[in-house]
Amino acid sequence: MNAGVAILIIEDDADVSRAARIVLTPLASRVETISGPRELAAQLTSTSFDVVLLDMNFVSGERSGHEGLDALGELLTLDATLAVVLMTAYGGVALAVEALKRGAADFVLKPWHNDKLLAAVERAAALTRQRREEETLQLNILERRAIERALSRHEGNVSLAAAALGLSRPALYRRMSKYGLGAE
Amino acid sequence: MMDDSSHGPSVAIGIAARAVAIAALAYLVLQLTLNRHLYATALVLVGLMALLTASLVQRIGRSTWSRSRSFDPSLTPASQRVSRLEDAWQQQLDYRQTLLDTVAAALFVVDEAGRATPVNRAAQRLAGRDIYRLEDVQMIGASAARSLLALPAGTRRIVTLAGGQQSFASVALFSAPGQSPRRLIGLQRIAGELDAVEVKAWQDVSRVLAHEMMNSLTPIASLSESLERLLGAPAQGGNANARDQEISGALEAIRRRSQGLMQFVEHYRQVAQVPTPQPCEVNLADLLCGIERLMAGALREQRVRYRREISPPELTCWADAYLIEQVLLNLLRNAIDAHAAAGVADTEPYIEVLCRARDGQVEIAVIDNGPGLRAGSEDQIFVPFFTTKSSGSGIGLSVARQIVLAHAGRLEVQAHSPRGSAFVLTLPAFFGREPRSC
Repeated sequence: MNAGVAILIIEDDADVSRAARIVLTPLASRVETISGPRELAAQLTSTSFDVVLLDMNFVSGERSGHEGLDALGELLTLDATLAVVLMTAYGGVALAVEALKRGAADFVLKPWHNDKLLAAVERAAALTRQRREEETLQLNILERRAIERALSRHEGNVSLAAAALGLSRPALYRRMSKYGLGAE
Repeated sequence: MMDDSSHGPSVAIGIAARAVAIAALAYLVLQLTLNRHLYATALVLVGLMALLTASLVQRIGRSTWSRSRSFDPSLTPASQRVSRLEDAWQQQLDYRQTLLDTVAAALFVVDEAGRATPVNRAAQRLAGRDIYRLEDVQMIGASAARSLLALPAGTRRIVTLAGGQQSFASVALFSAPGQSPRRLIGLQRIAGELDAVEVKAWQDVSRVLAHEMMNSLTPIASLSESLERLLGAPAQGGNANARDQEISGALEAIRRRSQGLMQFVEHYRQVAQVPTPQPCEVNLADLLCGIERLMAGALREQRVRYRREISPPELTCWADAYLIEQVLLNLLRNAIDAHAAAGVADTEPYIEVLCRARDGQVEIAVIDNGPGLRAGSEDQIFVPFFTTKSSGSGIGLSVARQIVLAHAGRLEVQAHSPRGSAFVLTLPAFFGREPRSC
């Protein structure tokens, strides 16, 4: 089992929410359910999640799946590393393709088999973890390059380089030792 | 000469009356095709027009002939004038026949004795050879011919012909003065169109059905699968209580959704079996009084202002009172629900029911100033099981439309300005009844 995945379920049908929650409980450190994308921003900014399970049709009588696509866009704007699994009873291939094109991690058709849902959410959690690690890695690379450039511009003068980077001298020293850079 | 002078005025009146009738029919046809899109009815009227024209020509022919006989043969200018007139009428007659021949529907005239005459090319093609009775037409067949002849005037109905081909039949009754009444039967082939409509309807219904069933089956399937795991998992100390709660919650949800599905199937049966209307003369004021009594509570509760207008006040329609009451109750309930769902009191909510006689039909409009329909959902709302309400069954409007169609009427929705919607119910004045006079 994983360290525990934080899961957000967005689904207007309380029974479907309950069913998904029960399936995902063994996998999760935390499962929260909301009934629509209205409270989305508040939920995502106050706490962080690893996977979002998103229903495509919120407005009853509306089956185009546009609400789901809109909510997907909003989710990814708030957190681009978040893996979103969409679910729909009615969507067909076109909607699935469109959702994947817009950045959804996976697609589950209702009614689902529990192990399929579990597997999809597990894969999505791994994807989020990987994206977040990559993001950190990329930040580190960027930081290291900036320090190298500042140091070479100022011919190894740590004080000048620190001032250029907007860091204190000790802070720059800490980062230099982290990346194994020595002052010439 | 004596003879002529005594007949002159009555002949003139007869001709003038026909001419006026033809003009009126032409106007009506134009109105029907351009504004109302009632092509089938228009077709029947075109047929009537042609017959009237033929009789007009006959009448004029007779009178000019008798006149020309009584004139002195030496008065050549006058006889020339007459022959020019005859030519003009012949041209007019050819024109009418050509017009009739371009009509795609096969038009037959059947007299009281049952003798059938094809009146346009489509009818001749359908008949194939000389016929005496409608049932002689092989393509129509005896049983379809019998049911066509049994249809009351003013009926528009789909009839299956001998070859299994479906035709849209319209029947009108008419009689020239001094002649026994005849029937004009129009048959329009609709196979291709009907197939497309059927396929579309079937797709719409199955899409909605699939959505509803899948929505209910999702928790049932998943929760019952999970129950197995929950029951198998050893209860860990204090978690036993939480586990039992989870199990009972899951069972409760399964029971509720299964019952929902059963109810759904029950509704399906309602849609599939709309009863045949038993029409009688219905006074609209009486009908609406009863309905208003039923809805008064809901109207008060939602603080909706209600107004009704019937013009003329004694307006009646020929319909199944019980079924039409169901339709109107449904429309009113929808209007009230629309106001309730809107929940904003920026405008004073009202519902209006306006009844009037129009073009020989009875029109009942149920108007509200609620939030109106979502753009593009005008077609969907009549699809069985389509609903925008969280607790709606989605059968109200589809059953309402079926009932109205069974009355040979129409139920349509329009946006109401500045806001809200208007459901307009149109019933033929003479549904299920022979017109009093022709």
